[in-house]
Amino acid sequence: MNRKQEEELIQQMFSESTESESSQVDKLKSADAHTQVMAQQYKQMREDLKLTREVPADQLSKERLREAILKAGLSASGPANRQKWVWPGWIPSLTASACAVVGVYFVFSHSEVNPSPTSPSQEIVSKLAKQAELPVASRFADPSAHPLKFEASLGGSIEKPINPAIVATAVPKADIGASYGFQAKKLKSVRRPWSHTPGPTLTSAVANVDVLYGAMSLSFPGAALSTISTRNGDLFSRSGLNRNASGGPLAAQFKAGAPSVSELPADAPSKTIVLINDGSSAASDANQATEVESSRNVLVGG
Amino acid sequence: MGFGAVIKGRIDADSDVALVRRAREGDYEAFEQLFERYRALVYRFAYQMTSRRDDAEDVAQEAFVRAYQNLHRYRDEAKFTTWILRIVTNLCTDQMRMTTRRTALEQQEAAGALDWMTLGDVEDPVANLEGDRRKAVLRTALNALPVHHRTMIVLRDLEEREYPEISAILGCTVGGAKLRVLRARRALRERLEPFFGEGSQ
Repeated sequence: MNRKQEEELIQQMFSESTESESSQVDKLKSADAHTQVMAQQYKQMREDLKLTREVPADQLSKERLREAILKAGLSASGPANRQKWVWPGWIPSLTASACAVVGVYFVFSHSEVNPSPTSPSQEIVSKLAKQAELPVASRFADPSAHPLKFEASLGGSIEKPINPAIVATAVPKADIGASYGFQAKKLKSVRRPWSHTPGPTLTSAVANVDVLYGAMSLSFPGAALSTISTRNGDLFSRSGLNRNASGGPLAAQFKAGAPSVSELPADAPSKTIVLINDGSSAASDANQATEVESSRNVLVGG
Repeated sequence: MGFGAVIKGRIDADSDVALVRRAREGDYEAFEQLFERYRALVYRFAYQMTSRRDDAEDVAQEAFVRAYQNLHRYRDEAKFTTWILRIVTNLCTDQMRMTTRRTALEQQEAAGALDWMTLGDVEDPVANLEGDRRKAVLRTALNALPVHHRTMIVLRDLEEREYPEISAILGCTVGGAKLRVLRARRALRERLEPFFGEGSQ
């Protein structure tokens, strides 16, 4: 007797076979004694299974079930406390993370230095410098003479002008035009409060750049800088100015090889100008004067 | 509104689906009605699977607890009995697997003590009648079967569930359910083979 025949026998003994299947099993039983024994065993097994259907009475009750449910806890999975639509809590954190990543990418992508000498930012700088008749180009023509440079570009506009920690307000009237000799020690710096909203003007910004460049080159990298900005936005990139760098809340971030204002064209007319200094002569008690050859060294504003 | 409509509305209100909906909305009494309606069925099935009254009660109770906690997962198109029996089947399967991990000695001791305490009413050791002996043999053989075979025997031959319902409970096809039942019966007969004809001899 193979498996299939045995399955047919089982189906017949449990009254689950069709008539045709039953007739085939009957033929098989009549021909095989082992099949008859097996059929008898299945029959007895079925009767015994019927006997085993009795079960003792249970001791379940509503109170017992209520206690079990309370013990298991009517948690959030319970129907009473279940919301129809559960707010996925991971969405806000995921959104915040995505925004942070995009923000960081945006900041870094806009803070990259454009090495092209014909970058729009430099064109704008030179244009503004021309309008103000304050060319600042040739001063920094030799980068080797000034190992420290800072980046200059129009990195983007800002809604709120940066309040400088230190704003150079006094421009040295003398010694400016004398062979590019900066008198950084004569700078008078005024610490303005952070609540000062109006930003420096373009003129003062250029002047501050000049003066502070001298101060930096004479003193140390990371010296305090004034903010270089216009009312509409930064004249120089904020990437070159780092509030958190060493040397003060607003310090220069130096970068070798970065494009500097020295590459800007300087075609302003040169005239002889007499500048009156702060100090006075001990002999005549009159103010000292300095004669400069070009107006491009004269810084206005502050 | 006619009498028929009233009766129909009453039937609909008392249907399993309506009770489940009410229970979902927080009506615990509706769930208690379901418990009263099907606790005997669940307990009987659990007892056939575990062969111990206390275990069967624990399983049945746990099944209703889980049913209450997961009422939102119950689909209305399915029968509540099918769904609850599926829960019981899973619980019994888990319990069997845990039981098989016990050591042989613990199993023997626990089984003997619990049999004496829980099955004493049904299987009187003093009055060892032929029927009781056959039942005890069958019960022993049934307990010795693997849990998947035991489930099929209980569902089909003890609880007399139809094949479509068995297939729904087990998540298989009707043909697959039939095949499983056949295999389980064959396995049970092989277990019982040494004892067949013992009483007659």
